[in-house]
Amino acid sequence: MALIELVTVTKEYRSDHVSFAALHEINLSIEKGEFVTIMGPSGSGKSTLMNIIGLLDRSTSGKYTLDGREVQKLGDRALARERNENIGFVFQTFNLLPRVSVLDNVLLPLIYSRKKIGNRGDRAKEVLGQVGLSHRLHYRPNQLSGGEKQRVAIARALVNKPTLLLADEPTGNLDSKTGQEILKLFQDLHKGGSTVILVTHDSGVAAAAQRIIKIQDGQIEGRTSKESTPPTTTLEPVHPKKVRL
Amino acid sequence: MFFGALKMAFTSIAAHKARAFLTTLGVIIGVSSVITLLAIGEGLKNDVKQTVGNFGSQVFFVIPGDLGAFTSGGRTTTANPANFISGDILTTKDVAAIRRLRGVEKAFPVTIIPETVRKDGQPSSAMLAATEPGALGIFPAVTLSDGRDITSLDSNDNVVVLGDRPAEQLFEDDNPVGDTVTIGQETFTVVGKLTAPESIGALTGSDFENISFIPFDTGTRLIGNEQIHRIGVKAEDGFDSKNVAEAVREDLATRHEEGDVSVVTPDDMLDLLSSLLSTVASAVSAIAAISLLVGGIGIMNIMLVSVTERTREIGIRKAVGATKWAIMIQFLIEAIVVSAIGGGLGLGLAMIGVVIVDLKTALVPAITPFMITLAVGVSVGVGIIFGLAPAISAARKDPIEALRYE
Repeated sequence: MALIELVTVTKEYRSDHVSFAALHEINLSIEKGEFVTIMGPSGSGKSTLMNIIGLLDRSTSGKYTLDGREVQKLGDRALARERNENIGFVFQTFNLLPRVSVLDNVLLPLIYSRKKIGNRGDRAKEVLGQVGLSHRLHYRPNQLSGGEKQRVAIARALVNKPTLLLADEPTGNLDSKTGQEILKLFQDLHKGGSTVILVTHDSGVAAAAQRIIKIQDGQIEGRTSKESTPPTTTLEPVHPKKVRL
Repeated sequence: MFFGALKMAFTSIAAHKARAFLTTLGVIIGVSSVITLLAIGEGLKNDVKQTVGNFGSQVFFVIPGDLGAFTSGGRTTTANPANFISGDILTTKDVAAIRRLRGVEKAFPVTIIPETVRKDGQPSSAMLAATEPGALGIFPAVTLSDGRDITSLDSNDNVVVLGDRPAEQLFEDDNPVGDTVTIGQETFTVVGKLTAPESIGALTGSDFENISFIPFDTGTRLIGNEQIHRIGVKAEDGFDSKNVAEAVREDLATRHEEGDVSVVTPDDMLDLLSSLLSTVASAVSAIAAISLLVGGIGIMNIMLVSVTERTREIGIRKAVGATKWAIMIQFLIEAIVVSAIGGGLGLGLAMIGVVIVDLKTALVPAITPFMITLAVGVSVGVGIIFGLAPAISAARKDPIEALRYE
């Protein structure tokens, strides 16, 4: 069974009798453990698709099944719980809370969680160790480099052991070397068993994934399987240890 | 989640200390003014209670004037306030009539003599009262420490029983009994010395240390005519002083117009004070309520600003799984914390005010647990009432829009 199953999903925005379809009858299936990129130019609908997959937004019509559960008609509270327990977000602009420490930023999802994951502090430190930031626990975000900020965001996304990792242009605000390091981290997470969906407009970044889903004008153009071809970007190992969820 | 929200509230307040302080100013002023007033009122009540306790429970007074005008909810009255100090309303006939009533052990006139007791030209703080023998027994707390009380044999003689403080002022450690003092132009022999009670009210209690007695007829001669300012009455043991006071009231009504005289029991004195205090408290509470309203609006305003400033934070929290309820509680807790800090500072300011009043006046204001509960309750209430709208506005934010907010 697929982790994500979208059937004829449409998203329309309506205002004053004018409607605009940001997504048009999308059919999409992503298996558990896949590393997929959704690639498209600005305004293609990729972010809208990510928001729907990430349960931040609802489709106008169609059916969305996440890990066997039909999430289309869930209420706000249930959607919040799904986001908290099953989805980890990584944003282009990091979106860390500026006034609290790295550790507190990573602990944030656990404040709202009912999942039993043992000692919360230990868990937060563990994922910060996985992204190589054990030495920055009590730093504030403004004391970190861009790459470090994105690592904190990744640690925050991982802390509640989600089934799905969603990243929206995660390398967009980073220099190319740091961007490569972050992509390597996603690859390592994928190798560790995580399902990763990465949204980007950059074909170089998209190539880091197993499969590329191209989107244009709110419709999926075609699918590229890269499993038989080598990645176009060369990724150097960042961490000697294997990253696992 | 609660502690997380509490921690976040303090972090957020710490990031804007000056703004938070200015926001709480209204709450600080409102809470401190109410608590200071209540503490002073409590001090006054304690003071009067102590003073009343120095009269026996069986003692009450007849005074000229209409006290009811002040204790019956401010009803309109034609009573003349000057009657309270009039010496022409009560007469020796009243004293005699009261003495004949069932249940009255003794009744005696009291005339305040507006003269200073001096020794070799040096004045004292004596409060001179002309009365009849046995009046001393009405104050169980004031006792004779030296010499003797006024007797019927002293009638119209120049003798005085000196109070504790004037005796000390005029004779220091010497025994004044047998010595002389000057009252007006006349020389008086000190026949007795009084000791004031150890536990006395700071404000009204000083009268017990200063009161000094001369014979009633001597007093009448000194001021040139017969005047009675008060009639002290002691009910017999075994009689309810309230019933005796009622009998006195009925008797006085046969000779005086309604509103000319009042019978004041210790309970009436406490009622009068409570009535006066509640009037003042109502006025100050109204001012404090306005201050709290302004403070509350300040809190609401700053919380709305905070919600706007932290729109992206709200988006992040929603993305990682915060429900609307969780967001609302977080901002509500922040408003409550800001307001409660104001309440705490207001309480602290009131405590400083109380210490100043204590040091600078004879009054000892008291802050009770009720007042602390009130301060906390009011400030938390203001936080909830005025923090709710911003908190709801935060909770309703769309996560996608919030995440895009610059």
